[in-house]
Amino acid sequence: MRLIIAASFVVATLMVTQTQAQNARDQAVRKDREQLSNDQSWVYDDLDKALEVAAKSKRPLMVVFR
Amino acid sequence: MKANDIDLTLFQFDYDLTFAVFFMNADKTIYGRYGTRSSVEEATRDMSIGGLAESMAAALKIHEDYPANQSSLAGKQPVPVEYKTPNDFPSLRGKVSESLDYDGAVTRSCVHCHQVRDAHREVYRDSGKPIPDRLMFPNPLPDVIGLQLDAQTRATVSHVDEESIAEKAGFRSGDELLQLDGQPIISLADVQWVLHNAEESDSLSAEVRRGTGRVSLEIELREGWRQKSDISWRVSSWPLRRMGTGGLKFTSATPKQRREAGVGAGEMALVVEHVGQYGAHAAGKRAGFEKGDVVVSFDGKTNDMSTSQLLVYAFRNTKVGERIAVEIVRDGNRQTLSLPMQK
Repeated sequence: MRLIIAASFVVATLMVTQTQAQNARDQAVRKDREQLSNDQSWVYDDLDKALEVAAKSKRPLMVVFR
Repeated sequence: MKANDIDLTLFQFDYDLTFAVFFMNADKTIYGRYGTRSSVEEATRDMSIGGLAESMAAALKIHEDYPANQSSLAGKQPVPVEYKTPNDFPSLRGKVSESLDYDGAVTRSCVHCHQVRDAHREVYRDSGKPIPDRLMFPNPLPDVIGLQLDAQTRATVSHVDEESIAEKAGFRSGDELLQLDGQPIISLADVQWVLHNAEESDSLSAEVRRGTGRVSLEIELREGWRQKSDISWRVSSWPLRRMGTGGLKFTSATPKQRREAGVGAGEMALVVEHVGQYGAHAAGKRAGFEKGDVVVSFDGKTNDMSTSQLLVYAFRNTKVGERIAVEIVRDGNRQTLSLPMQK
């Protein structure tokens, strides 16, 4: 699915966290950031960059809040 | 972009979600939304990979036709708002950092989506001004009008409630909702967006695919339709409990519990399911409430209410600092407790 997304969309994740056990959640957020920041399929937490890439590539944007 | 300074003039959605998607053009024109929730326990029952995939395919089709279809997307665009970022809300002002503390307590440094709605409601609570229905009952689920949509699909009707608004409009199980109020529908979230912005009395045009053909329908909304929304599952109901029930959490009494409490049909019977233990959420505990108490009267009201209706009543009809008389039945005996209304 992610390869299809990458081919069709510029994908941006905007990190928003919900209340959970803080330590586990903090670790999950940091791990998530590390993984997605290194994943070329995603633009992590940078809407301006995502819009720029979308404009250049003429692809639509899929913005994910989670 | 951090959620801490999320642009609320652009990103308007159900802030009680833990997963929300926008499909949009690089010029910020919104093609559609995805993401729905109706339960605390089952966060994903209203979403699926299949449903998301169908929504993505539909968004790609809209993009393909853009900008020729721009006028059909007008209703999907954000509406004017007073508060442009979370930091603009009085209760969050100065408390929101623009950068997250990734090396420390990162989740504590975040603004959670539901805090946007919490802060907006607090503006009305603190000022004593009447809160709009749209803020009290945000992003209504289609079941409010008697429509259930299959989460495995883009927006296919799985069930129509008898004698509901949807049935009167002519919806049938199996209908694929294509347009609502002139907007192309690519998800359940899109339906919620239309309902969120609908008026108290309104007429919404709908187009469905039925078999190999297309059918036009008209949904007639009448005053009071929105108030049938259940807000009790929402994360943003937690502050409402702090304000109006002293941290008490209720559930509707079963027929057996009603009989044991001596409560008849049509009369109030809400069972205390949980008593908050800390801070302002322990106000109910300090007032003497116990788990298992059956609330049969709240502020003089004895008519049957759901938890959602009671939360709304408390928020709209009480003032900070008031003490509300609440009659309970405990072990077959009635007594009245005094519950403080809080910020």
